Amino acid sequence: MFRYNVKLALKSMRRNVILTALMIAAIGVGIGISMTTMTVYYMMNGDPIPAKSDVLFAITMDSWSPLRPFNDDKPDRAPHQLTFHDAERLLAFGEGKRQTAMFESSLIIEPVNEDELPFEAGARVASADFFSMFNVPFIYGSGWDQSADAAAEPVVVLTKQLNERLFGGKDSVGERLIMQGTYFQVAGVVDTWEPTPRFYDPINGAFQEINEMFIPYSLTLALELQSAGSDWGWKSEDITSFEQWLNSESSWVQYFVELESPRDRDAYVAHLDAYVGEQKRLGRFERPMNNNIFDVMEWMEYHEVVANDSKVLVGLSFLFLTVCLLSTIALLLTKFVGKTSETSLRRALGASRKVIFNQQLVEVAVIGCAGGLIGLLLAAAGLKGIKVLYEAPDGLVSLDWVMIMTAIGLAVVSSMIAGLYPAWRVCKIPPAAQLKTQ
Amino acid sequence: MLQMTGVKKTYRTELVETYALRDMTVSVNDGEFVAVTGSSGSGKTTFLNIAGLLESFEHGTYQLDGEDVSRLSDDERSTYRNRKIGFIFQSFNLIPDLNLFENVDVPLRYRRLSKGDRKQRIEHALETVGLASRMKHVPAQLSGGQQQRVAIARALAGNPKILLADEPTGNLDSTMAHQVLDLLEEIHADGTTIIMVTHDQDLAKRAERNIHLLDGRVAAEEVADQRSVAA
Amino acid sequence: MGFGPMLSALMRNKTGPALVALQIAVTLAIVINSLFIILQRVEKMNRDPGIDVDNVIVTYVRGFGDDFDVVASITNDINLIKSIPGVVAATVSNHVPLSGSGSGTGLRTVPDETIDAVSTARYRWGEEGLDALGVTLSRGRNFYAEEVNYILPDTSAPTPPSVLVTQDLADSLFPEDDALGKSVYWGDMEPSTIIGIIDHMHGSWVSWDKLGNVVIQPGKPAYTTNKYIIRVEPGMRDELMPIIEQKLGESNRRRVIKSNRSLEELADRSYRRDRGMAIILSVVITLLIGLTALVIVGLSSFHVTQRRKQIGTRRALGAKRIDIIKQFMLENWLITTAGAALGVVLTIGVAYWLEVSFELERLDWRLLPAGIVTLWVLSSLAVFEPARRAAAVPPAVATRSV
Repeated sequence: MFRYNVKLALKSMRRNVILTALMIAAIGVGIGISMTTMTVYYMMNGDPIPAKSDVLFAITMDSWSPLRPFNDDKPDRAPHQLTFHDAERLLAFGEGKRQTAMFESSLIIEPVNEDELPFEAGARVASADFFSMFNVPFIYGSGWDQSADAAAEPVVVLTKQLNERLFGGKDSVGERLIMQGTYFQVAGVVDTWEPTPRFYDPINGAFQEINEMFIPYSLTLALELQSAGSDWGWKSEDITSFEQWLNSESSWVQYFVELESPRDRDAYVAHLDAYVGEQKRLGRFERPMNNNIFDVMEWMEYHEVVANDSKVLVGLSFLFLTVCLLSTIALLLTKFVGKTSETSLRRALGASRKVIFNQQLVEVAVIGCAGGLIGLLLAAAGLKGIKVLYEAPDGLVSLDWVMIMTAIGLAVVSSMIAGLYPAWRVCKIPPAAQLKTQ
Repeated sequence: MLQMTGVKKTYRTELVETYALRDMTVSVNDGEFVAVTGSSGSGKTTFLNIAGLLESFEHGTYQLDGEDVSRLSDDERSTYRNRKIGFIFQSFNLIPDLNLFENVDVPLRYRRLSKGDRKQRIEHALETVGLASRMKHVPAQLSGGQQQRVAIARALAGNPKILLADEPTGNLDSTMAHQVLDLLEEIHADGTTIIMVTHDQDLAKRAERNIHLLDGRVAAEEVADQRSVAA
Repeated sequence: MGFGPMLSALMRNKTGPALVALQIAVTLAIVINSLFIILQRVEKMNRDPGIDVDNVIVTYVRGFGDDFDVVASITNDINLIKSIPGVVAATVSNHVPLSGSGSGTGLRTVPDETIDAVSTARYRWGEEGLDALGVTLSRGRNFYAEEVNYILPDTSAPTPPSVLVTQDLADSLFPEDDALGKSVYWGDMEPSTIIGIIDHMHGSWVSWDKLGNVVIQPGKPAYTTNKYIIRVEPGMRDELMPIIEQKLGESNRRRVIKSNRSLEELADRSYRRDRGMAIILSVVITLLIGLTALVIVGLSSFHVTQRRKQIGTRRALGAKRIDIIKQFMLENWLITTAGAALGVVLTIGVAYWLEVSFELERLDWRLLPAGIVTLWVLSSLAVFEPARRAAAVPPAVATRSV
């Protein structure tokens, strides 16, 4: 019966090509636009590291000015980066399962021989635990270990792209390169890793490209590494050396800790409070105690990673889809008016109301499917357009299987909802209504 | 009232030329009740279309109510139809979304009459056909015979000079058919010229004269029994 | 022609027309609100930055190696750049306006920490800075060369005696008085004197509500990464960009050219989101209007076909062609107006929802009448062709038996 209905549906669609085309176009465009905006929203809102998003925590401590809060509009907020001094102390305590202090920087990779050109590469300066905490995948080698951290060894982990550029993509573990006048040794090469959003650093851009290499945080002082990210300061301090800079009240270091159980979390916050209490006695942290930890999803919400514009677009596209559905209902009603004689004939020949109703719904579902497929094509084009317009990373604009199934599902379900009323109208046609006259 | 001389009408498609009317010469006097009969393909519908100024024709002349209406423009024909001709169709042709009052109103609206004037005419017309009490009903609520009577009211409301009826009882059962014919005879008794196209010979006998068409021209004429000529 | 009967006919067969009216209503709501957002973004992007954006080139450089003499490098670079024909002015700067990246600080009019400071963007460049950006000084004077010194990294620069500010910043600091000659205090409570006022200039962050607040300190930053701002003769920018890059590259291999871009490109990037939103919404509006128009055309055409017999009958009863056209257009107008009326309510509803949920601005009500008039025009255009076809239905259709 189902296949028969589908056959009937196709015949009926062919008979009224323009109306059918218009309906498929209406559904297609509605789905195309909705899926484009929904995909971006879904990706922005998604959990980039579902296996661990509830055990990784960002830290904020309120070392800001006693006279005014860090953010006048949100006065309960502390600066969302730490001072170098505080980060060093926390690293030394080693509380929590794993931890990393980190910031963005850039170094010049100097040419080994004269005819090569030097170039600058972005780096994430981080602790050894970074790789295991964030489940970073490696293709060659691995990250460095705690002892390398402690010894401030000049080691580097390359990304796949940088490895391509420097070493032609081969296994370059053990190879050396010169940065900041120092020989660095390659410890490993990281596979393509593009968590979307970039949860570990939403401050400098949740959708930026990932850094090209990773080097130990402990090199900061030795190599006088400067943060390329944001830094904030409230205190006017006389700074005449890099060391003084590191000891200042400027907040520019990001800190993540891995805490597995709720008890660990409470213990950690208590530990932070104890540390800040001690610092208060030394004259720092003049604001009220305000230490917080945020898991990955909370951290992204804190930074409002999902752009306002994206939410507006999702809202508007659902209104758009409503218009498309209204079009579809109107077109279906019109189409079905033309069917009265055929329908009453079928009813006269024994089809029950339910059979006619089902037949109409199948037809609507077929149209919905066709519309959904068109919609997917349009969504793919739309996402491509978004990528170009916003220079968005691929992770933000790809249709994964969930989205594809959602598109088709949405198309079929919404068109069937649209088709309910027209189908009901058709099946009400009495068996011999049009058979008498003409 | 109506005088056609040598009227010729052809339909041309890409492949075929059809001579619907070859040499139509007929005249109908003021106040006559004439039937036009013939088998299908004889040209009676075409004759009606031309008589009713629904279509134009190539050769010949047509005089209606003393005026030459052979070569009128589309707008002029519309105006003529509106004021001088009343139509009664086989399938009633009432507008389903309008009630009876509004249906009878349709031709009057094209004439720019005052609201009061229209109201009066409509009520009078509906009374004449005996359906004034159901003015606010829609056609779907009426039987076939009642619908045709409304159509007659619509045709009468504009005080036409001539009524053209196309198989007026074709879609009715015999009881209703008789009612409609009775009504037509009443209208004829009041002095209205009526031309009725039909394939039903029995029906044709109730008219004063029966014009037979064959192959697009008049083949024969019969004058009815003196008894049925209205006094 | 029969307004009354037409209305009762529509009411008796409500569903189709109601759907179309509803569709028109929702379309109006979406289109007007989207148009408003687009206009806002376009207005934002078209603001005058007070800078000669078209003719400015921005070059980021970075030296390496222990013995790299950054001061000498910058001096040589700037001299080299200025020697290229077509270059009008060049300076080194701590940051670049409109680039999205910058330095912010707070200024006060009295050395009192407890008072809130006025937030502003802060630039530091040499005496050629204003010229390098094409910024005009409306009052006072620019820096003298003697006032401008190199600032080395990891050193706190001394508080400059003189600074330049924009009029916007001056108005925020000194709402009643003339700011020229007055003192402003930095975070360390040290003062500087305002020696010049810039009529109007944008800072680094285009979406910041205090974009017009700029304070300029004299100095030549000599950091690790340095930023050169270069202005060239009109029309020569694209030609000179590769030349500048090439000459700089040849002159010193220990100094990397990180990037060489036009200020126009940097500014466009800063406005990327706004432009993207405007474009996306324009596409949405176009598709929506197209769809609604097509539906009106499609449905009207269908109705003409469906009502052929009725049209023929009306013609038989005396309607002229023009009467039929008027009928269809009037019917369409009725539905459109019903849709517009509902649409006004929906538009306001959607505007309110957008304002409350997403902190967008309040809708400019003037868009509503403009939208409704456009709606009438478009709707009439859409129905015109089907109406014309309806009028072409011959009266003889009335007598056909099928």
